[in-house]
Amino acid sequence: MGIDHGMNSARNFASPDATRMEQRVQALVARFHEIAATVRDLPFYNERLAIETIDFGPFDDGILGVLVTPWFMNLMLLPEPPELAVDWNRIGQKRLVQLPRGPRHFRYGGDEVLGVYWLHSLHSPMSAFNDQARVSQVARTTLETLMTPEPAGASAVATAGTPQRPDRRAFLRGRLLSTR
Amino acid sequence: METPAAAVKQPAVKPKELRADVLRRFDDADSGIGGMTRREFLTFCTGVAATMGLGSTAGVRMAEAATAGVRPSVIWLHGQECTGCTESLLRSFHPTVENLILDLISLEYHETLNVGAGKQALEHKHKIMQEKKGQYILVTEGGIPTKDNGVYCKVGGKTQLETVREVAADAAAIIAIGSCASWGGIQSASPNPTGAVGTFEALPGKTVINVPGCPPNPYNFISTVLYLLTFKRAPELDEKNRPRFAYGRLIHENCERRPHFDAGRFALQFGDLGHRQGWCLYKIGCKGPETHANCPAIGFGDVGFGSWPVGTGHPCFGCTEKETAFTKPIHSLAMVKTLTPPNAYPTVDGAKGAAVDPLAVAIVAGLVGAAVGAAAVAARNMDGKPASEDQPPVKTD
Repeated sequence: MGIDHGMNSARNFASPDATRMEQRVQALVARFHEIAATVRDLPFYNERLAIETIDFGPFDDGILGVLVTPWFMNLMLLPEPPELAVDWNRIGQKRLVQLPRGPRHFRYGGDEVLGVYWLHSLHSPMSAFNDQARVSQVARTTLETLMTPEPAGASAVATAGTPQRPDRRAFLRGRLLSTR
Repeated sequence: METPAAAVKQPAVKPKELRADVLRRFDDADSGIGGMTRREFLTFCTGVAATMGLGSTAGVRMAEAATAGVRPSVIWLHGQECTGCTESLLRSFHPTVENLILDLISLEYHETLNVGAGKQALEHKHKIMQEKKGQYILVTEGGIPTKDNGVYCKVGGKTQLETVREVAADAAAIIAIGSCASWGGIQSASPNPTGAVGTFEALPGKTVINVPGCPPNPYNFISTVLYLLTFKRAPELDEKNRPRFAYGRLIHENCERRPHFDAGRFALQFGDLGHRQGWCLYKIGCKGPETHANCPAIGFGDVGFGSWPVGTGHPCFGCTEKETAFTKPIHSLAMVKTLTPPNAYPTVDGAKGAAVDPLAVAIVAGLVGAAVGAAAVAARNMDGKPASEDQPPVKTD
């Protein structure tokens, strides 16, 4: 996974695989509708919410977007081409994925219908949300943030005054922030 | 309250970058700390800092504070408890925490580990309380009975309530280790025959840092102590006075069985097909969705992936939550918490720069750590001096 993908280059919906990508996202939604039927009666199921996919697009060798359901909101990374054989012993294992904003841990997940996907939890349970519009907005903004490199201004605090090769003594004494 | 702590804004330098410039100096030192070389100790401190959402500069500061030779005195009191917290602490091997805790601090009184006994031990405790007035750390382990004037737990002719109040009066900082010390624990379970309460309830007006768990993870305790030593104040605490770096996220959010939860695969009883396949334990009573702790991220016993209750196939029973542990049956379904959005990813509408970027946490510690902002509640100075020019300690009393 590359670290230098800007929002525009990495998430170009006009790629030749757009139709295929759409099919995969539709399959994702269809499958989670089936799963929803099995968990609808459980206390964590938020009746006010629906299943929705937010801004799925190509990301390196997969498809990345946010999946909202009444019981979780995850970043989902679908490998491309699909890996249909799920290694059940690997479920839950972590891997670092370099998003433009920085690395995030994704867990190996999967399903006999969808095959392998990688997930990064954003919210669960979903009881804090009252309506779908708010959820969609949070999902969209979060994804946008994660897909945008840290703006220069925001990280200025962390980098200002940090010399390229810090003086060893100052470094040991924690004076990297001496300009503050 | 002060502005967000400067520590928050420190650069997230990876340990990899530290090694070349910093570690060499520590190699020259001849003695080890807690069974570790100085290099290992510095790496450990950097890891601790990362776990707490701080930059590696904070780790270096922690290493320096811990090796400065000023070991704060610690008085450790046992109340109504099983000593499991102490046992947990002593059984950490990476690093050897029992050495670390003995070298890092000066453990003056601990009823399990005391060399002296009886009158001799009590006299030493009083001597330290006089000599180190206002500088020692009080650690409480166990609940404090209050019913019938607290007669249900007495040491040296004094009730636990009297002893804790007496020692706390001149303590620089107070840490309650374990669920019993944090809110009463199992002793306080209905019908609470001894009127057991947590340390903070016995000390109105005092700031008590709670490190609950049954037992708590020793690294959460060690990290808190290192933070106290370095910055002379408490790390950021939540509404239950638990350090946010350790108790900021739900178990459920970091759980390795989470993909099964999402996909609707649940174990229905112990030993069934789903249970043997490692499916989600929600339906057999897992309290992960209502319990805040970092267990799935750091595990217990230093044996790697999966070394925590849910990892080994048992539902979380919510030991860090007063409303859950020892209150709800293990088999009952977890309540669904109303959550504010977790803070381990960039805030959507929060102020920029108010929280540390969790990248460092993710890289260095392998945790989805919590952001560390300003210390909401602070302990008193241990030496009366600010930790650094840009971080004046906060006084609360």
